[in-house]
Amino acid sequence: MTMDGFIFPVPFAGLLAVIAAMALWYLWLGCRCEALGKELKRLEDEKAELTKRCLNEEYKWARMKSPESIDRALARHGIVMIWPRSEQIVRLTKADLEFWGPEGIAKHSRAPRRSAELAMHD
Amino acid sequence: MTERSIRRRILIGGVILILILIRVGLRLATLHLGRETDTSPAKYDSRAILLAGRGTILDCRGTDNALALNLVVKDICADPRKIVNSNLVAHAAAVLSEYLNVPADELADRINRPERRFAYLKRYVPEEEAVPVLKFGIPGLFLNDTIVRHYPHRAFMCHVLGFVNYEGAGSSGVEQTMDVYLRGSPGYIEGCVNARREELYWRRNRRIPALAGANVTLTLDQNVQYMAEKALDEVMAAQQCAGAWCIVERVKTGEILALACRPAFNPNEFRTSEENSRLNRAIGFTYEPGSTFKVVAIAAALNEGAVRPDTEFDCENGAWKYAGKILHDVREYGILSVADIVKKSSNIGAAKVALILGEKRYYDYLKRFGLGARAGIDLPGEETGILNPVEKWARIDITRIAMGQSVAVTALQMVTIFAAFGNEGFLMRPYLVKSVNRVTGETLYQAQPEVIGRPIAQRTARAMRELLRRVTEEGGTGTKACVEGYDVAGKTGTAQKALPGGGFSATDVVSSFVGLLPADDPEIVIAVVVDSPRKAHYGGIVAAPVFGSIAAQAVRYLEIPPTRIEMASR
Repeated sequence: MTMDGFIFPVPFAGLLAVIAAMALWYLWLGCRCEALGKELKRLEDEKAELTKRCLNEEYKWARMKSPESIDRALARHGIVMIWPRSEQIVRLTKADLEFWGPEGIAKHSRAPRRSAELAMHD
Repeated sequence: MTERSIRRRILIGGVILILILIRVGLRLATLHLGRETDTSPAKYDSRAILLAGRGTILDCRGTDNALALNLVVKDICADPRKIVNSNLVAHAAAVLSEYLNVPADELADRINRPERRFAYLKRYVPEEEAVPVLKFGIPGLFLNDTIVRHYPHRAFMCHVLGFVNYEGAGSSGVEQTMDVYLRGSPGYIEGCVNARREELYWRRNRRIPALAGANVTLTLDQNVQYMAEKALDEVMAAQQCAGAWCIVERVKTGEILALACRPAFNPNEFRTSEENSRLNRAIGFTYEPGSTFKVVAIAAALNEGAVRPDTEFDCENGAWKYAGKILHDVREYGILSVADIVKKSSNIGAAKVALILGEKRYYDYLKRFGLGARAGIDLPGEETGILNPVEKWARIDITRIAMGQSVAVTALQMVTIFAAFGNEGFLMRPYLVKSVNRVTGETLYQAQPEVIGRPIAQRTARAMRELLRRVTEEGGTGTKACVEGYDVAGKTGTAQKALPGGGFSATDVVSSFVGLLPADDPEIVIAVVVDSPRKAHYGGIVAAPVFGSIAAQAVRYLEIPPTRIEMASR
């Protein structure tokens, strides 16, 4: 390669290219590091925020489903729940199950009521 | 351009490039070797603490039922110098006083200190209340995140859970005994912040993550606990008593299902609670047990073969003189069998049974039943009760201890003794911490049922259950403890309270009932103690109905099958 009669040395051109590539690579690495740092910081902040929200939601959930809260909610809606009397409870023993068998029990069971189905799907 | 000048320019360019390369190399070296010497004045060294919350305390159902947890709240802070320099001290104090409900002069005092750069204005404020403070436009106000221990159910289970002090250390209850597991280890970030206290992430030197505390799962069931607490509230209101407490325990394992005391306190506001309300009476209050204690003498005598259930004793028509003192029964009983002594709760009968055993043997049994020693529950403040060594007994003492006087116990000790009757004579260590797990799932501690002794044989335990079952039958003292469909084996107790200067109170008694159910093969044992009831006195009237109320709900909730099945009529 000549420039007004000067021959540009190929090794030197190669050296320049390598230096340029290294400088660019260095720049790219720096940018990448900075971007990653920013991302890390953002994710750390987000994690801290989510942990905070999670703790507060756990608190609300614990409050909501305490027996006392459930009692109060039932009272608010005028729902009175009592334990069944023993004669209202049907107990199946192992012997009953063996006598009737699963098909027998299914045959003699009432079909579930519509409202119960809905409740289950809800 | 001459060849010479081109060469010179190339040479200069080359030198510049080499210098750049050297600079790049140096920069890389400093980056990798960490010899950063940049000391720009806009940066400040900082060490930010990463908060580590205490572990959660859960009931036996696990993660969904949190009993003690952490809450992130805000500390409202100020830079006093900034506010003073803005001449806004009076304005800030007035505005914030109204909003934060803190006296204005107190706030002004904290703010009016220009030499300081930091002051707390109010601590532990919920976020939704704290954030609007920043909209008042007062310079130098800022919020800091902080974690507080919170008990979402307030006074519920307070004596078991305990509380943590200002430094975040467990100071009572499970919070204290399990502090080493519950306490997390805070982490930190070392680096730099800018003038606005924002972290310069590219200047971060070190980040040590916080280690969250481990979660503690209890054996207590919050539903059974609720049943117990509700029943205690009712008896407190009905009897206007000084206190009431109760324990529900699984007979075969020693797992505590409920432990409730009244009066109670709100652990979120433990600083303002009365000391009296913080006492865990179930383990920390010793009382003379009265007739519930007769079972020890009867069981010991049966186990030694000294008596049989049908062995008869002359109960002296209600008054018997022994060692110069007269011992009375509530009613005038004549000849009673051992079974009837238990059923009718005869003091004279129990005293005579103990005398047959003799002091030494009786004392040995008392020790074997764990009297005078801690049962070993995992809660702080457990009392040993009072049992004098046999060498110090007066001649009369054996007759008094047999009927539950001259001896002091805790409700937990009585529960442990009765549980042994239901567990074929094996005495189990009561416990209420089921397991400790890290958030990652790693198990750090897993409780196992532990036998601490076997004071009586299986046949004696069965005989005792049979005798105690008769107490709740017609004609017994504990009929109000009956549970529909279940046989209950239990014992009533009424003891006059000892006065500090000696003697007994004429008005104050401790009424109690301890029982097992189902009597044939017991699953749970419940002890109810009522201190100084005002409307009635006898354990069968005051404590037995509380037992019945808790037991009736607990057996259904715990799915304990009934012993008697009443058939529905068509």
